Amino acid sequence: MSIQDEIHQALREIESTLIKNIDLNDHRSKVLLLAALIEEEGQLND
Amino acid sequence: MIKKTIALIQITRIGDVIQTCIAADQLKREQKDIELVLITRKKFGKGLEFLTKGLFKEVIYIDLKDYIKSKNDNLESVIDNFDTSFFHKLEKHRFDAVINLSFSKSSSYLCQLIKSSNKLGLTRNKQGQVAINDQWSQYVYANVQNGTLNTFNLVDIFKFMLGTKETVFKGCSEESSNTISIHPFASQKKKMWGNHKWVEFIYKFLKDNPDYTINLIGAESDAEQVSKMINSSTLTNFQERINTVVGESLEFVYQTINQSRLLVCHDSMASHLAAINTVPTIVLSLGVVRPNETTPYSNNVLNLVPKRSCFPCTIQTKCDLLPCHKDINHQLVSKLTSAILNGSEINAEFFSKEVSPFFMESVDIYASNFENGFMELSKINESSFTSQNMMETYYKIIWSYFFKEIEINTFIPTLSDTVKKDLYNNREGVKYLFELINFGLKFSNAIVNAAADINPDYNLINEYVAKLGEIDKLLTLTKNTYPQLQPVVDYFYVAKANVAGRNIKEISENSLLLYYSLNNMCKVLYDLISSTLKDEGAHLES
Repeated sequence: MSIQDEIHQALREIESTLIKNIDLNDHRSKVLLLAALIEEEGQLND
Repeated sequence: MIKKTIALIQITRIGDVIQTCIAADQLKREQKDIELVLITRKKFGKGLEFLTKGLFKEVIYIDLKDYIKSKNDNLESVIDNFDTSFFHKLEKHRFDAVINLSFSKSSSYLCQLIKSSNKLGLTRNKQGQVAINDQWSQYVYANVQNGTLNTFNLVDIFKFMLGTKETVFKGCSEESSNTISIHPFASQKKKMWGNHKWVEFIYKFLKDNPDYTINLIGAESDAEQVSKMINSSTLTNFQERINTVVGESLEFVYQTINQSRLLVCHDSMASHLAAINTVPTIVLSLGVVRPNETTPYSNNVLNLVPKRSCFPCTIQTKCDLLPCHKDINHQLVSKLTSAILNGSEINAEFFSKEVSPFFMESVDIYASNFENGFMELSKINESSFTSQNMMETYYKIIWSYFFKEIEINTFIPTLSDTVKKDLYNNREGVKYLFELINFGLKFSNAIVNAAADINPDYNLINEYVAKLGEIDKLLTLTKNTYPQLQPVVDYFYVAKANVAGRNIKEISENSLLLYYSLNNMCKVLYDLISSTLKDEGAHLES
């Protein structure tokens, strides 16, 4: 599985935990941060 | 003396990092007992070490390349790398406060992950929802990101968030060089003239000012465009007077600008570099640029702004013809450049005597002033005021008092009938808002009373909450019908979503206070519009 697929899967898991009212832990927040950084990387120019 | 440590998160572009440095510099001047740590992207912050060194105790860089080293990495190894390369550096500090000056998704998660009991700016709660605890950040989220009626410069917003009070400018170099700098590029095509316009300007300037030379500044990625410009047939006889500064370090660019008599540019990082030492600057604002927000933070700047109803547009707006690019005439820019170099005073008299009215039809020219302790742009050419201009002024008065208790005096210009009609229409919208808010007050008050009961009737409270939901929908309808009322409605939404409180009683009480604030804002807005329209009989009854 590629890193992108792994991140997508992790995001889906996080979404399902949040729906179940389970709080974010540091690991999950780091995955969310990483995903957001990757998403924004292409949008930001000098 | 034990110093307090504050983390500043700024992970947007180079220009934003420079603006953060300007605000941080002021904070350090005023607060000797603090140390600052900057968290920024390596690709934006590394080149600015000549500015950040000494100002920050440490700069901690984010760089995805340090965490994702190969395509074969799995998520766990990437997170491990993230921990080792980034989070371990953060953990060496004990932050008394974290202030997020970016308003991006990533910065909100980052702010959440940094351990500190005081957080300002965008962050996330344990459920991953956006949380904004301070008023200025709520203002930014509601107004800077959504609307076109923000009246505050970003540096001032950063300074307000950091709690600084003063504005100190460094003087520009007294050395007289016969060189001006031009940075004809920006981060988007919409924000910058095409090559031919710049070539026309350079030709005109060099022809009219035979003693002057030009530094043409660009990044490595601009090399092709720079080459096209200087090799243009129009500039054949002037090539010896054009010095190219392409692909150089930001420190070199900074020094080049500092040694110049003047900088002409678009909204870009070069303009903010010039602001550090108040090098005289002419900014050409085009496309999505919002002059109130991004004018370089300097007392030595002119901003040329198209008079066009679609300006400023948004990134999403499709525009092939870029009509605002034609609104700023290159001969006008050359005229202004020469006038500044000659020490002429640029005011309404200058425009009436020295500038053809044809050049002024489609452009307004603003200069900065700091009379009220923050940057304001004043129109210096004679030009009629639009309803947008008037609403910006009203909001400036309202927000300045609401957040900082600063009273601002302003003159009431002569308005056209069209503008008066627009303002009258807006006043009708304020009336609707006011009525809705009064209903909101009624139900919010009922919630406070019900929540104060020893055995609260939760069904009744839910009914009241549903009523408030209906009022919110009607507020949105009112906002859509009267778009220039967007700032107050959106601020109210953001503030209400982040209202503080540990239980339903506290939340409902703080929510009620917010309704009162909006109620007061509506009253003030109504009175300001009425005063402008000289309709003294009109006032709202609470």
